[in-house]
Amino acid sequence: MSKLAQLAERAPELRVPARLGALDDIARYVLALAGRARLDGNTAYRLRLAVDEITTNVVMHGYRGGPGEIVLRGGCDADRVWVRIEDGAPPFDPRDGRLDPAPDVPIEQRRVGGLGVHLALISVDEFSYAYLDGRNISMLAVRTGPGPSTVGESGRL
Amino acid sequence: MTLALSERRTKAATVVALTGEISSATSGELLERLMPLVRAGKTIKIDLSSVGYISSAGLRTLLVVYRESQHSGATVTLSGVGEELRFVMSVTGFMDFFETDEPARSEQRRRVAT
Repeated sequence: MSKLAQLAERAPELRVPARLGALDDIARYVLALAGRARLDGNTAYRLRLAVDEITTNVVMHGYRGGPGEIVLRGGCDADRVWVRIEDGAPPFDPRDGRLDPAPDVPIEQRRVGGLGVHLALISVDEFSYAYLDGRNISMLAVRTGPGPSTVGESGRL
Repeated sequence: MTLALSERRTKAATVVALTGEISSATSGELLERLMPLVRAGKTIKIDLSSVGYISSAGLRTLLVVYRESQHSGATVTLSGVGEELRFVMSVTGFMDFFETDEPARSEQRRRVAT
C-alpha cells in the first residue's frame, strides 16, 4: 500500500434522504467507520453523537422537514478519523444554533433547543463549516492520538 | 436502533429498565411510556445500565419528565449511568439535576460550571 493510500483511507460515501428515519443508516455508517479505524468505545461514541446531532439539525432546521439529501463521507488519516456532512439546504452554519447550557438557570427554565449542537461541538476535536457551491459542508474529526495504528494493517507512517 | 422498556414495582419504587438506544427515533415513545407514571406522582427509578446511547433527543425527554415531576410530586432517579452517558449528561448540566445511585465526579461538575 502506498503512503498516500495509507494517509487517505476513505469509506465509501453514504447518500440518504433528509429524514429522521435515515439517522439509523447514518449511525451505522459512522460506527462502521469507527470500527475500521479501531476507535475506542468512548471516541466512537463521541463521533457518532456529533454526526447524529449535526445531521438531525440538517433534517429539522436545514431542510425544515422538506425533501432533500444528506451526503456523508468519512475516512481515517494517520492521527484522526473524520466525517464530512454535505447537504443542499439553504446556508446554515450549525454553530449559529449553539446554546451552551447555563448552569445558573434551573433546568426547568432552560431552553433545550441548541443542546444538540453544543453536544456535537464539544464531542469532536475538530469542527469546521463552509458554504461552497450551494452546499453546506460540515467537517468533524476526532483525534486518535498516539498509540496503535488506526490506518491499516501496515502501521503508522 | 430500538429501545425496550420493562417495568417492575418494588416496595420503594417503580423501576423502569431500558434496553437499547435513546435517540430521536425512540425518545418519543419513551416519553409516552414514562409520562403516565410521572403524572401519577410515583417514585420512579430509571435504570439506564443497558442503554448504550443517548442523544440530545433523549435529554429532551428526560427534561420533560423532570419538569412534569416537579408539578406532580413524582420522584425520578437515574441508575446505571455508564461512562458515555455520563459524559453527555454532565456536559449539558443534566447530572446536577437528577439524583443517581453513583457519586458524581467532581471534575466533570467543574467542567460544567466553566
